[in-house]
Amino acid sequence: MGIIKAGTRDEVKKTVISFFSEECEVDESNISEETNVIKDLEGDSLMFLELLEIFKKKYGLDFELKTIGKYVVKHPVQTIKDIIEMTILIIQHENNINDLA
Amino acid sequence: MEKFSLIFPAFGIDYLGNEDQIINNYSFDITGYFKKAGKFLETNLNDLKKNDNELYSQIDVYIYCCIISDILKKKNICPSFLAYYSMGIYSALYFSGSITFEYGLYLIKTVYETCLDFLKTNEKKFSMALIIGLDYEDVLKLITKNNLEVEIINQNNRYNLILSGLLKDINIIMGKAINEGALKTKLIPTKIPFHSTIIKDASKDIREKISDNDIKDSAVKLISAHDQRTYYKQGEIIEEIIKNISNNINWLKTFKKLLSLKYKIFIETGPGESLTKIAKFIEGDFKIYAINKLDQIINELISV
Repeated sequence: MGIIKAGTRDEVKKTVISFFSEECEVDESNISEETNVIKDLEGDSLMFLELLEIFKKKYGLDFELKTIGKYVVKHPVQTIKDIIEMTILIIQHENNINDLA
Repeated sequence: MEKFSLIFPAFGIDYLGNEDQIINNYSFDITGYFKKAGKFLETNLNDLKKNDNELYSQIDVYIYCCIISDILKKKNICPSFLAYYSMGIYSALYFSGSITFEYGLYLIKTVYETCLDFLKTNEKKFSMALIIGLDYEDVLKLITKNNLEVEIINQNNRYNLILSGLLKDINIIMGKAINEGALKTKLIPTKIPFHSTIIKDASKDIREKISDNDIKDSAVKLISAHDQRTYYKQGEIIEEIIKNISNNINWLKTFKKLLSLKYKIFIETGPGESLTKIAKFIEGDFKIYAINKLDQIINELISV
């Protein structure tokens, strides 16, 4: 189980916002935790996949993509906040994320 | 100067929405191309622009690819390789001077109608689908385990696969793929299971309808999306047009072959940015530009 250090959430948030700002050509100041990734930013599954790869490398995570896919079916990701929270859980639980209640 | 390759997208892509505006910046008359196509296909321009017609939507992508090709040619942008994704072969051949604009239209129409006629003898319905998030082995296991009449006909990158097969089974596998952890599945709006063995006999009929006199050697080397062979001779081109209809393709291998040949710059020569997006998941040291970066790439290549 991965350990979340002080500042990890802020670091994840910064990465997520910076990523969508660049990908969707939207100024960072116009993206908040409440921003809906699909409706407001026209984000897609390829972007989501790319973001997961970024975090995988950044934190040296070990997870199978299909594990995250199964998690997302049960816990749909819509907002920037959803992505941040899910990323924190992936860092903590990696392939065991679906064992969470 | 870095060697660069043009890459031609297939049908069924998402448009950026500002393609006309980008093309207009180069003072190209889009309407002229569409009028020519309308005349050739004996249909009016308004019908041709309708997106609910599968053949016309294929023609639409082809026309945009040809226009962008002509812009690049006018700017003396000379690639040393041409790669194509699926039915992007026709626009690659147009760029290379192997076929005329009209003969490309003829080939697209002939392939579409011959495949459709061939499938009419079969009461079953067919289609294609995209699966993102599962790897090749996972999808293959799902097909085998559920005894589905579906083929994996292309691998775009590690987690992006294209399937062809029976519509009923395509729908089943899309559902099962989501349960297995796929991030996305999408039905591709086509009645023809391109690149699958299902239409192998139709491709034989198509050969008889291709006139050897209308196809010339290519001025630029091409790479086969099917077996990554490089070619440019007329006979090889005809053979490849046929193989490209019912043989599996592999975009990942095609792109990797270009990287192994030291190509580091790629220009997506068509509407949308589908190949540019796919390339983000292919490892390597390269740059890829979609039509929305046309100004940038033209300036960079001209200034070298």
